[in-house]
Amino acid sequence: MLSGTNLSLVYRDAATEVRAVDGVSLEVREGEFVGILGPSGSGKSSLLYLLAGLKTPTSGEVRFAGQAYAGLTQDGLAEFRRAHFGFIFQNHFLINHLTSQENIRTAGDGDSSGLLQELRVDSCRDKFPWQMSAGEKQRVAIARAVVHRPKVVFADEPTASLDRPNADLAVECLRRVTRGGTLFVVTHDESILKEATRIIRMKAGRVEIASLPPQS
Amino acid sequence: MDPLSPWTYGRRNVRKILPTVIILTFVVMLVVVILSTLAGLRDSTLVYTREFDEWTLVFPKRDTRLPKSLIQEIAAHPAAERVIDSRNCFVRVKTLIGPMPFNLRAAKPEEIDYLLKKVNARLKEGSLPRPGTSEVALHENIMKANGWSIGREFGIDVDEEDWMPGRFRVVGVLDGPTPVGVCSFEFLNNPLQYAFSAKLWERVVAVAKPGRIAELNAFLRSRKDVKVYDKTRAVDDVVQGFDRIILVFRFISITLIIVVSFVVGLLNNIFFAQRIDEFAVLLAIGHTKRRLFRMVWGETAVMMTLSWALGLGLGLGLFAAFRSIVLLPRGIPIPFWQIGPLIVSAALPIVAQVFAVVTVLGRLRRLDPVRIIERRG
Repeated sequence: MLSGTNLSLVYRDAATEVRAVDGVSLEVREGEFVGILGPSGSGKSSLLYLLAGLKTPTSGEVRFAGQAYAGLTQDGLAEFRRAHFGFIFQNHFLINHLTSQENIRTAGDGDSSGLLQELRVDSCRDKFPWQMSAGEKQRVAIARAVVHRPKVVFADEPTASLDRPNADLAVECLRRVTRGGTLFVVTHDESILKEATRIIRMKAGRVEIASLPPQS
Repeated sequence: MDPLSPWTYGRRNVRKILPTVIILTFVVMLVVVILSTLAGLRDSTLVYTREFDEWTLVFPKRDTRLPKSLIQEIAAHPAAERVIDSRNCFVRVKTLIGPMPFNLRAAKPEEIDYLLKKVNARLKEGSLPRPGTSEVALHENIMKANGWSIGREFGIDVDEEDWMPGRFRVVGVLDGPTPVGVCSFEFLNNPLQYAFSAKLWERVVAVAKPGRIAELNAFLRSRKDVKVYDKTRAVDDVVQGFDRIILVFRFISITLIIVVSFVVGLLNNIFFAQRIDEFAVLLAIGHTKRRLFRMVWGETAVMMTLSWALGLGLGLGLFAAFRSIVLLPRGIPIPFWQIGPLIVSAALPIVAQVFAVVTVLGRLRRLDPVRIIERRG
């Protein structure tokens, strides 16, 4: 369903060359929950952005449902992302002058009220981001990522800015609303990957180990 | 409603857009008031040339007298309705660009009635000049411009700075769409009554048949032995006086447009920088750069339109007040609706819009959402 073949992402300047992702290949099936772990600078976020079409690989190819990203224009790729993918970032990135419901609608049409209820933030429906707690904002960001029923959700450190209870709640919500879909989660916190079907550990831009989660 | 609509943004970010709206509103207001006044001044002075839509003045070229045969020839021309023997008499009219001479039509009583009827003028107050007297009747605009009332005297004998020899007295006020003034031909033509009579050049007022002034003027201009003062000449005299002022103001307007566009463009860039996270996340979740560009364009257009409408409203309001309180009572009949100032004022938001959007477009094109997301993360 989603595949990356021999992916490399190299940052160069006059004196140095950094291989953020170095020859990574992987194939992920529909419905998988993939955790990407690794220390800071290991290339886990870069890999996620390559798979999501947010970054263009220096070499290699990414395909989703048979469509190679390289064959799409910049705007075409953006539309492709909007149609098939959902995104959650470490920072909520909600638009400050929009209410929760309006923020969710920026990603597409869907049952935003139902989602807010399911994520237990229905009281925030008409609130602006500056009127909500960090945990509430992240749950609204989750609702924005899934409102248009994407086939794949990419989450980059979705709990990094939350305290433990809020992080657990966000993960529980994320799993609930993405059940049946493919989910990629980049994290330092292995405990949120209990339900993952596959874990990829990265080091220096390479996949060190790809395995099932510890409890399975 | 689309959450990314310009209206939603404008409504929820009043404080952010206020500086741009205020700057643009004030500049539009300024341009409308100044340009309307200036362009209107020219038009209000051109009002004094309206009488030449009906007739043309003919002067001798080298002598003080016109040959009788020439006068007969003019009278016999098929486009001429009447030829009136006249003399030179004028008053000084105060205008905003300084005093200007305004010629009175010296004629006999029945000819005065004929001339006034020709330009739809009527006696509003007082009386028409009696034959053989130094009395004059002036249009109300001239009276207002000079701050005069009936009984006022003018001429070098009254004020040595005046341009008209002798002493004249205003006995009547005329009104109507065309500013005119009349005085007695018999008085000016009689050296026993008017000492300067012999020195006054002859002139005839050649009145054209309806719609045939151009034909008459073409004939008069073809005569090399006389000088002709017609509509074209009268308009040229007025326009020349204003051309430099208009030129200076055009320069100021263009400079204003450029400076304001630059300021608005700069402010738009600051707003863009403040909203960089918003644009980054929208790009990341799949909005195209084209859509975001349309969004920025729409927001700026709403802001510019709003500022222009506000500035225009305030400007026209201020101009209307200035016109009715200051200008009209002083006999400066500036027209209220003028297309020129509206066009220049509309150029302001259009140029500012293009400038603002082009600068933002460059930044939007280079925007890498991941870099922003990683930086904030």
